[in-house]
Amino acid sequence: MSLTDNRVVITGAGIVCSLGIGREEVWNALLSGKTGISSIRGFDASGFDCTYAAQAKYLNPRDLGIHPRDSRIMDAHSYMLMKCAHDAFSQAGLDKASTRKEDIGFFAGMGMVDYKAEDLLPSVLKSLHSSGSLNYDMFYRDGYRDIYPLWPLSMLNNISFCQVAISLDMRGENTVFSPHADSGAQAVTEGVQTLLYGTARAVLAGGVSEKISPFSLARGLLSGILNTSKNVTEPACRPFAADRNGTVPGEGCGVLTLESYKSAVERGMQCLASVTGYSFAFESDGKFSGPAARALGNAMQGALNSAGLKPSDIDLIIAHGDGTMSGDKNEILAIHEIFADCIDKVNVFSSKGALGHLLAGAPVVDIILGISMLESGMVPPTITSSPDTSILFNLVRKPLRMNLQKILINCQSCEGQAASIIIEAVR
Amino acid sequence: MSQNFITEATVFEEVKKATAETLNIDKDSIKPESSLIKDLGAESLDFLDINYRLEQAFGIKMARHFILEHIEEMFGEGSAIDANSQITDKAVSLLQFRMGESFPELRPAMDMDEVPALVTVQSLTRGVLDILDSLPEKCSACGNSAWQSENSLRIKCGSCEEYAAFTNGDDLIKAWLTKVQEEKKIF
Amino acid sequence: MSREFPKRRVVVTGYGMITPLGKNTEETFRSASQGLSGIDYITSFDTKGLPCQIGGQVQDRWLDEIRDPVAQRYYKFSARGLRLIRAATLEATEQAQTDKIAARERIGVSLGYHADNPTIEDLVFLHRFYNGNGSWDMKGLLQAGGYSYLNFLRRKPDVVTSMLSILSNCKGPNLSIVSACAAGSQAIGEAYRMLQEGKADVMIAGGCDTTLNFVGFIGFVLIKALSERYTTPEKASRPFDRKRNGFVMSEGAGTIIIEELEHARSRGVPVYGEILGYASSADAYRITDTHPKGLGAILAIRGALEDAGISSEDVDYINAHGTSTVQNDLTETVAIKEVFGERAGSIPVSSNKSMLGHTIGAAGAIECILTLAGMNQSTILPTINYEFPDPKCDLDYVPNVARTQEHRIAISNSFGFGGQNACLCIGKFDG
Repeated sequence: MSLTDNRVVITGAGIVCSLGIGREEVWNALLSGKTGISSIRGFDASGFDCTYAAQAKYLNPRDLGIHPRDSRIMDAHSYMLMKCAHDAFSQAGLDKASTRKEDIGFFAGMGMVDYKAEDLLPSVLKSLHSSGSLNYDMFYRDGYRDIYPLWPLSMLNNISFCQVAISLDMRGENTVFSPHADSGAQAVTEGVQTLLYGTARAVLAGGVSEKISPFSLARGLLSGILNTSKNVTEPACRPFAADRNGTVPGEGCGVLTLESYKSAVERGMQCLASVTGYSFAFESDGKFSGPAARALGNAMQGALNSAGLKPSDIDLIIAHGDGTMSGDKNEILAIHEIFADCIDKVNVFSSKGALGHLLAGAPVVDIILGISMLESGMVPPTITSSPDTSILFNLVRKPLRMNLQKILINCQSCEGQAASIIIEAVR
Repeated sequence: MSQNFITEATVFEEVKKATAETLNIDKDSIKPESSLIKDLGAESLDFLDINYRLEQAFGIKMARHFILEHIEEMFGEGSAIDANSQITDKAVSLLQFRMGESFPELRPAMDMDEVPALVTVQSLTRGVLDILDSLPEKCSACGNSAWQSENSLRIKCGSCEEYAAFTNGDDLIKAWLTKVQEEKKIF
Repeated sequence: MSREFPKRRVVVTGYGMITPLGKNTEETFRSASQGLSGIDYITSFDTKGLPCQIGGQVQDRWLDEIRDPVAQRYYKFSARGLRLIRAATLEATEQAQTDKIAARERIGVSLGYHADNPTIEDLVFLHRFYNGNGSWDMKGLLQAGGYSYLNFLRRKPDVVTSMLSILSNCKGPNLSIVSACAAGSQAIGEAYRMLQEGKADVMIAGGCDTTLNFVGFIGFVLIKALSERYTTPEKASRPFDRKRNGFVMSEGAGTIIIEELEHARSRGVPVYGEILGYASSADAYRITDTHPKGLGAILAIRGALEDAGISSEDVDYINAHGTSTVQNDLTETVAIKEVFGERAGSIPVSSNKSMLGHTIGAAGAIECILTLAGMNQSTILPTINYEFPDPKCDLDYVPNVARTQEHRIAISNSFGFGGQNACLCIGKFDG
């Protein structure tokens, strides 16, 4: 099914990550080769095997106009989603538009929500025998009353999403996905389809990472994809490098406003890009480190088919490129296969060397970076080290000026989901 | 037993503080007769939050159920709320007796849904004081009568350092209803 | 708003469930038609001293009876949810004969699920490594075997979806949806959309949840969402009744197999019903309170009817969200009256939660299947425990006894925590 006849365009883009708040700040930093990855701050990470992350600057809920009654069940990920949604909304002029609330849809991919386990512990602590073992009777009878009663709400995966809907009064079609990179891609593609299906006039679609905490870090370590080498030399995350050694967690969020081209023109909104194709595929590599190369290839080919494009039409691939041994290897194989006929002309970029792995936020943030690339005709440098010798494509490592019209964005999840989305410049 | 360690003024200040912090409003704008729902804009989640703060501050357990539910449980279906979801005359007179002052909104055939709006800062304060007045004579841990005040908000045993254990709010309401029923035989 | 592509017909070729009332659809439906309740005192963890001690449990022996050597090795380190959804999916895929389909990349999975919670033992273990003020001795925790708590195979919401894809060998789209009580319906709705868009030929869609453990349970006790006043466990869930005072938590799973009609025909498999339409909406009002005028619910119901291209006049039955909370049941009644106008009082409305309790992410899926099964057997399931009419909820809730009545078009509502709503329009299939 071709998407080209009634194009879906992007008219707003909110972004927060370790390199800044807002597209301009992030883009300038990225173009000048900055990285947001550094030693973890905010808690003592010295006991962990991975001490690097790309943490976003803390957003103060007060500055975002969030009422303390709402912030009591919110945390960093919620603030990022709120900020990016508000930015995308106002950039697209939806705050002044006459679009009915029930015609505005909202889709998001949410990273894992780690409630503060310490909120649960007071009840345990107060119910201990002097010997240190748990007095179950006391715990069940009274202990639970010492848990902050609103804690369960901060644990539910969809609460931050609903808070954004309440804040912007968006009442239309919605779904919330979780927790990996593919969930952010799903949010975008469901947004596109909802517009084509005709059940919304405008859609906000976004993805947000986890908040980096001792628990998210421990969980990342157990998943086996983080860079745990001793004496890490920077860059800590090296997409497609010969000596790559794992990925690094990042904090970030991206939200897009999507609408039909016709609607954007009628409302006098600038079209930042159009979403012209996408596809998903699932096949585990058997080790829970990512999708098999075949699934990655199927996702890319499917996206090309749905956009009515040949591989040689693509000017740039923004790869998933997370710097893991097998993730990158499979993506390399897949790109080589799908783009075999033009491989020496294929340019590839990955943002993860600078921004870390944003999980559900990754594909949306990459799309937003793609918008800046289409606008400026520049590809920023991929922060990494000497490329893997098997690579046949051109890994962009210095700022590259080129004619950019069509960009393919890849993402994957540990469990085996692959997704590819194509965006194009709107002329 | 009635206690003198924590004064009504202290409790009132703490209730105002908990309410102001939860609702993010100016503490000085809160009056004793302010209805949490009607005047201060509280929603159901806020009641949970305010109660929790008071429980943590004073080391008590507030009632989890409203008095009407207790009446229904103790005196049978329809004793407080009739088939039209309205408050019965008997429940109204009981509430007026308990609340002490006259509430013009509190009237027979009042809709059940309007009752939570009757909760005021003063009635919350009263609820906390009632619980504090359930202070046992002797410490349950060591058996001594050696209560002391700590930080003007907590009561502690001077002998063994254990905090006082109060009757929880729901049990107090039940005890009060039993006593009133014996005296007045409303139901 | 016009649609960009012609509507495809999406039909149901298989279904399966495991609930407190039965190990498969037939058992659950049979018991439900007799007005039986699956609610009892909780046995899987100690509830002494808790203000609510009841829930709907799935019997462990039903799970143990399933011979599933392929999945066996995953069970020990993954969540109970996987076992439940696997049971439901085995029933569904066997019925739909999906194993015979060659093009595996055209089969996808879409599930609502909210992952596992830490156990008491996890919490007791954890506190030893807490230094206060938000700082943890994480190294000590990991060295001491903190793995079980952090086991991402238990706690990530997409694990069950991915595992099911692997176990069922599905390589198409893979969706993990976490919209609380609306998740099961949204999972089916999103799967239905996938088929409309031609992104897959077949979708395995549904939901599961196993929040019936101490920490999950406590969460809802703390926000006072559960029923705490009941004479016996079976009577606690009483949707639309004047004495309702909260919902009853349950666990369970439901799966349907949906595909495009021509695809089903070409496979020569029987069709059990049709998904006519779907819509979602948001209250955008408050986190736990529903909109007093039911605006979000009204949008979702109207949207589903519009998507199905049918008028409110054609609806024969409404499968309510009906959680037995004071708020939801009132809001839902208000919304139904608004959408159906004068007809509202003559459309039977019943809540399966009166018998099954609230299975959270599974609810939308289980209720969709029960609605279909009901249509195929011309049986409208009752709302049990209906004893004291509420003057504000005055529709025909099919009180206490199932009804034999032919019906062809139904809607199934799911209204989630936080204000996300979903509505499915379901139809009897005649060919």
